[in-house]
Amino acid sequence: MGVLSGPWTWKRFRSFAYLAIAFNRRQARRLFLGRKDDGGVERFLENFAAEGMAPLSAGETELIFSLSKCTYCGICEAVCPLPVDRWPAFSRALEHARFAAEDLPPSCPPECRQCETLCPTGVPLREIPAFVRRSGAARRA
Amino acid sequence: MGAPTGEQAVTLPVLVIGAGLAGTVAAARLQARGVPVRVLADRPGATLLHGGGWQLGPDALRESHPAAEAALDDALDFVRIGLESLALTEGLFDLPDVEGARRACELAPATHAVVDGFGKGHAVADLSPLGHPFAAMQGRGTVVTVEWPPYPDVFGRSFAAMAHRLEADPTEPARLIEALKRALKGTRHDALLLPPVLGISRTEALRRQVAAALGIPVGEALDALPSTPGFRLHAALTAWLNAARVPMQTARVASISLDPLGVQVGDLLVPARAIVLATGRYLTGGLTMHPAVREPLADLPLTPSVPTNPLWHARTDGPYDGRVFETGVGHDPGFRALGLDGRPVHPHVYAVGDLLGGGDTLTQASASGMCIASAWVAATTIADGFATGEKT
Ligand SMILES: Cc1cc2nc3c(=O)[nH]c(=O)nc-3n(C[C@H](O)[C@H](O)[C@H](O)COP(=O)(O)OP(=O)(O)OC[C@H]3O[C@@H](n4cnc5c(N)ncnc54)[C@H](O)[C@@H]3O)c2cc1C
Ligand code: SF4
Ligand code: SF4
Repeated sequence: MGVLSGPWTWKRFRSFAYLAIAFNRRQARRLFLGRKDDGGVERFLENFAAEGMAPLSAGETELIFSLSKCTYCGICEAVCPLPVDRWPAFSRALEHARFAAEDLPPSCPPECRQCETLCPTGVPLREIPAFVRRSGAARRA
Repeated sequence: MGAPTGEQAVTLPVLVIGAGLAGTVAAARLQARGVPVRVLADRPGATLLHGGGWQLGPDALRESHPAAEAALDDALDFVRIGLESLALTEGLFDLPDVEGARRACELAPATHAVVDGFGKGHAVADLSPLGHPFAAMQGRGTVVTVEWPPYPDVFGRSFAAMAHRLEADPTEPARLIEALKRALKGTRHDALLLPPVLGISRTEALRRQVAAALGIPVGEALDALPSTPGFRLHAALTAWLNAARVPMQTARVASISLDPLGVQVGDLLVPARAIVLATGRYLTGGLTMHPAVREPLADLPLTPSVPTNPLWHARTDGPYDGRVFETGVGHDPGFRALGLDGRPVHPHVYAVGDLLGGGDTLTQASASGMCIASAWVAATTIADGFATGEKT
C-alpha cells in the first residue's frame, strides 16, 4: 500500500494524527449534531470556480474522457465544410473553454456528421460546442 | 467447441470485425473465395492516418510473424489487382513520378521516392499559407510561391483539406492551374512537385489535367497528418468492398461469444461461422489501455513480441514501457487467436492486422505489409476449411 509504506518520520506521524482527528471530529458532528454539510463545497467553489474547477455531472465526466482521446490527427478539420479555425484542439484544452466559446462554429448543418463518422478514435465532436458554451458560460458567471 | 453444426453452420456468414486495411483485405479475400462474409465496424481506424509510404518490405516485425512473410507476395498481388481494378485507385500503391511512371514505395521514406525521380531543374510549389512539401527542405528544386488556395480560412487548413476541396468543387482545378501558370510564368523548369493536394479518389486524372495544362510533368510528395494518402486509401478500400458487394454494417461490437460462436451488438448476439478480429490497436479500441492493457472483446491474452531491431528499443526508452505499444494478440500459423495455453481459443476465431502487435511503437501500428498478409492468410485458412467441408 503506497500511502502507508515508507519511513515513519515524526512529521509524517503528525500529519496522519491531524488527519485522524479531523476525520473523527467530522464524524462526531454528523452523528451527534446532525450536521451533514459544513459548506466545504461552497468554499471550494468560491476559491476555485474562477479557475474553471466547477463540478461536473457524471455525463460530463464521461464526455471529457472521450474528448481526451483526441490524437490531433486533424481529420475532423480537413473534412469540415464550415469556416472554423483549428477547432479539434479544443477537445483537449478544457482550460481554454472560456476562450473557445467565442471561436466555435455557430452551428452545424443538422445532417452533417462528417467529422464524427471519420474521427479514428471516436471523439463525439458535435457535442463539443454545446459543452464548451455551457461550461464557458458557467465560468464567466 | 461451440461452433454451430450441420446446415446452420454452412449458411452462417464469417463476421469480420473492423474495416481498416486488415479487415477489408480479409473480407474481400473471403468474398472472392465464395465464402459468405459480413463486415461490422464503427469507424475508420489507423488506416485513415496511413502516411502513404508503404511499409511492405522485410523489416523487424517480419521476424515476429513469419507466417505473414511467407504469404506476403501472394497477398500483395491480391490487393494490387483488387484495388487497381477500380480505376479510381490508379497509382495508389506507388507514387507517380514526374514521368507518370510508378515508383514502388516498398519501405520508402515517402518523399524521397518521388524526389529521386526528379532532376535538379524542377519547381517545388509553395502553397500559401501552408507552405511546401518536405521535398523543398532537402534543397532540391526551386521553390515557387503559388497563390492558391484563395480561401485560406476554409480549406487552407491542411493539404488534405485542399485535396478534398479540389475534388469536390469542379471549378477548383481550373483555379489551381491558373495560379500555377502565374507562378511559373517566365521561368523554365523540367517538372513541378506539388504537396499532396490532387484529390482523394481522382488523383491520377487531376494529375494528368494539371500536367497537360502546364506542359511539364507533375508529381506529388507526401506530407504529415492529416494524411492525404490515408484519405485516399480509406476511400479506395471502401470502394473495393462496395464493388465486391460485401455486406457492411456500422456497429460497435461489445464482445464476442465463443459458445455459441457469435458477436454481441447491443442486445443482439449475431451468430457466426467464424470471426475475424481486425479491430486495430489502442487508437480504435482493439486494445485498451485504461483501466488495463487488454483485448476487450474476448479478453485474449497478449504477447509482448519485442522486435529485434535495436531502433525500436531506442524509441521505447523513457517513461513508457515500450511493451505496451508493441504487445498484441498471439496467433498460430493460420492466424487463429491464441489463448492462455498457447493453443487457439477457438478453431474459428482469427486475429489480424494491428491487433497482432509488433511494428512501429510510435504509430502503434503493425504497418501495411503485416496487415495485408495476416488478413490474407486468415481468409485463406477459413476458405480452405470451407472448401474441404471442415466440421468441428
Ligand atoms: C499516424 C500513422 C501513420 C502510419 N503510416 C504508415 C505508413 O506510412 N506506412 C505503413 O505501411 N503503415 C503506416 N501506418 C500503419 C498502418 O496504417 C496500420 O498498420 C494499418 O492501417 C492498420 O490496419 P488495421 O485494419 O489493422 O486497423 P485499423 O485501420 O485501425 O482498423 C480497425 C477497425 O476496427 C474497428 N473496430 C475496433 N473495435 C471495434 C468494435 N468493438 N466494434 C466494431 N468495430 C471495431 C474500427 O472501427 C476500425 O474499422 C501508420 C499508422 C498510423 C497510426
Ligand atoms: S479526427 Fe478525432 S482524433 Fe483526429 S483531431 Fe479530430 S477529434 Fe482529434
Ligand atoms: S458536423 Fe459540424 S463540425 Fe462536424 S464536419 Fe459537419 S459541420 Fe463540421
